[in-house]
Amino acid sequence: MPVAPCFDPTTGASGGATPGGGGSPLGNLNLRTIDPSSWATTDPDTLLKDVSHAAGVTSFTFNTLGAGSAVYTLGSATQNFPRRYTDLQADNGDGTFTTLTTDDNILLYLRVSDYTTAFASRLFVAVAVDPTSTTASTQLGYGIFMYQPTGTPGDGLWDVSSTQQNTNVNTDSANGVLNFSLTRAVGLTSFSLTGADILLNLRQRTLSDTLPGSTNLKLVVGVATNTGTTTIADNDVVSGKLEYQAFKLNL
Amino acid sequence: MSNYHCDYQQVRESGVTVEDTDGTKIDTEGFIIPIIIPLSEVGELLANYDPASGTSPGVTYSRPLSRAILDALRRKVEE
Repeated sequence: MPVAPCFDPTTGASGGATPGGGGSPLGNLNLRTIDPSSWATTDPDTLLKDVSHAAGVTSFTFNTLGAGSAVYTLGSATQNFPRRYTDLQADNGDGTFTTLTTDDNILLYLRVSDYTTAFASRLFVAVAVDPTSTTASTQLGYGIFMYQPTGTPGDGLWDVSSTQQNTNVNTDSANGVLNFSLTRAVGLTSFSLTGADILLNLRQRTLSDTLPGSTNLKLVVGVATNTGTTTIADNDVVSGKLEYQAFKLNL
Repeated sequence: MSNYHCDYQQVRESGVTVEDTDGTKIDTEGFIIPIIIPLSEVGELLANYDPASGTSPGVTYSRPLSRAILDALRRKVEE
């Protein structure tokens, strides 16, 4: 005999729990603002001088990079650009979090806004398998970025060691939707929005990469250079608001 | 009529850093144009392509492929 729900354990209302568990309001959900100031760091060549966070905006302060190199770009097979990372977690809506792994079905929303930069940078939010690795095919990073090669800002997507990007003078934010199935990266859509959240550019990339099983995924933020010739002056700052929301789905 | 087609709604102008078929890293600005080659055409197309020959593929195959690409490019540029 089936058990009939009699009251919502959260609100006490009759009829059982609200669909979805009665936790976070999925119909009106805010993004989670990222504060990476105390996260673990991968910075093989000590480019980062400081990472700070205030009023929702994260600032990366740099040491001098006198000679650019492809290894500081997102498109390189070797990836020495500085990044910070932590376990990727989904909010359970009750003050607890679930760490997401490569064995989960996951949907993610990624966003970069309020971007300012002192050099031709690419400020990104991403998910990676092993952000400690400087080998792109081991790091396995997937994400979105804002960039400003000259005076015009733009946005793009990052798929392991490939990128697609566009500039547009009205670019206000970079946004992305990324999904994973069991031990697979599935797809990444990225798009730019104006300050009024009107769509500008978009691009999609099928991934279908095989990932190692039973591995905690990492939320990664960092700064790459726009090209292999980009240089950085001492105390140059790149800043932006970095946000995400993650959903673990039981299929 | 050519059997080669373009998924026109997916044509994009974009900066790209990607890997070419031979593994070469490509870093450029360009148009991404997805071309559809029917499975029924693949055998004949590859049988008549010699990558070692500078004159291959012959016009019977290269022209319809080129036209599918160029029709998409022209429409996109003129939009």
